[in-house]
Amino acid sequence: MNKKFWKPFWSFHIQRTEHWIEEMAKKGYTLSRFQPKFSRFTFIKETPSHQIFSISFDPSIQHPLPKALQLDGWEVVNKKRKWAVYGNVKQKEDVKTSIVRDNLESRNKKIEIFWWIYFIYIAFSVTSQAMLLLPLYFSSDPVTVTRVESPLWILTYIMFACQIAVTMIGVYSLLTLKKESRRLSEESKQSQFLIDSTSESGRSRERCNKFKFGWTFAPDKLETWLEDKERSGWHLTHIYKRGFTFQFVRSEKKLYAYSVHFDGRVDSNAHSFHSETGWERVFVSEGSWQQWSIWRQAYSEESEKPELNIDPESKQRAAMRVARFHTLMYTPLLLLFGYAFFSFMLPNVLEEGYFSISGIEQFNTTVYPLVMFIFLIYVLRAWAYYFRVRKK
Amino acid sequence: MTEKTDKVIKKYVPMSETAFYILLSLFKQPQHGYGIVKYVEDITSGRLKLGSGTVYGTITKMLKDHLIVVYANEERKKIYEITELGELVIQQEMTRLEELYTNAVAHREDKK
Repeated sequence: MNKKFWKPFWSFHIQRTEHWIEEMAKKGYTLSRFQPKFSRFTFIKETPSHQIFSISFDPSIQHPLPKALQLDGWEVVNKKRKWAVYGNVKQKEDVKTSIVRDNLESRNKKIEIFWWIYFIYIAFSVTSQAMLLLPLYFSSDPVTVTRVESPLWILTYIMFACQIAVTMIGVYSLLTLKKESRRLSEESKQSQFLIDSTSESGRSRERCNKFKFGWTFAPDKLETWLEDKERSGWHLTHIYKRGFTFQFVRSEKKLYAYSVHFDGRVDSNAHSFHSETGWERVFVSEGSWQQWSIWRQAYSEESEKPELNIDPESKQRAAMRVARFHTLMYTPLLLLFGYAFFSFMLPNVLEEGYFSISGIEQFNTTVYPLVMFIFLIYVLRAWAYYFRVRKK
Repeated sequence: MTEKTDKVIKKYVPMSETAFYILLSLFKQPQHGYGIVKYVEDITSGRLKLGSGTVYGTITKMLKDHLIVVYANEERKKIYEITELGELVIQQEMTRLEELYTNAVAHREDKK
């Protein structure tokens, strides 16, 4: 006898879903049909040959099975396009290997980003509608609203209901995915840890805090600065949360290679990879889309200075990411400010004269070009960094 | 040979030195990231120290092109394993290098 189940959002609780398939197996049901898109699972009453299950996502639809997994008893039980269910005939305790879920994690991240964009759009459209209606609300004239009867109103209501439903799904998805990403990173946690700050013993030693702003535009300069500090006997012990204040402690002179790293998207795999190869992470910025991290590794006079990116190609690629990020971030602002300044403020000032405009207008016409200038410097500095890297 | 395999071979042969040594160390046996770096350092007698950013970038690219696959071992460490396609690619590259080598040796002998 067949048993059919509908499990909406099953992929947001991947471990729970796997566990459920295992429970079904214990009860003597085999997963016979798997329709991931429709969240449908069909079981038949038949004792399955597999004990444990793992669901994997592979956008290339290949679902490869490494030899080591095969030897460990894993098989592809069921696959449907990008999803596959892997099963293992052995007991849970005897299974040594597991399937890596990087693809699933990046898929979940993409869904999260989609919903964020949706909410930003909603916020934007609500504010712009409010801006339209606010003058009406504040005006002293009586406002009369007439509702024209029409059978088409039903469309408005349906659309409204749809919008509410979609928004609810969005809220649910974002909350669940946040939890899911924590569960998945918990699951793949390895024996090694990432060190966030090195708290050294010897509190009595001389300390100093240095403030450094705007290093994201010239990461190479920060690297040299930190390396020089270490060379002159100031050891970096802590970087404060926002990444502007650096705490040093007097210690012996040592050689350290520093590397400032920028990820377009948070890639915890890359981070565990680097720390596995002997790099120590001393700083990581918050925020999940654009992430900065600072790495270091001690080395001796005799050996070569280690580098995170060693070939010019990957160095340039990393620098390009930095330049592009700052351009994308500041150019729209620059254009927006420039538009307001050159098409409204400047003509106004030229027409009326600087001293005959109001205080707030005076303030704006002074501040706007200043801010624009700063933004322009930011962008130019980021590109200067890129060209420095290219020249090296 | 399918069209897809052909495309991958075209993309990887000739290979950069870094890519070659990474794939070579996986050709020997499945390894984790640090294992690759160490192995390459060993067989080049310390000449080639791969930066972990470089290794990571190359591995990500190779995973995408299915030259290698990944799984997690008992300690949840990621282990990379070469695929049949990966073996095919490195064999082709080795043939190319062999030709390079024999020609280099032959011409050096001639000069003597």
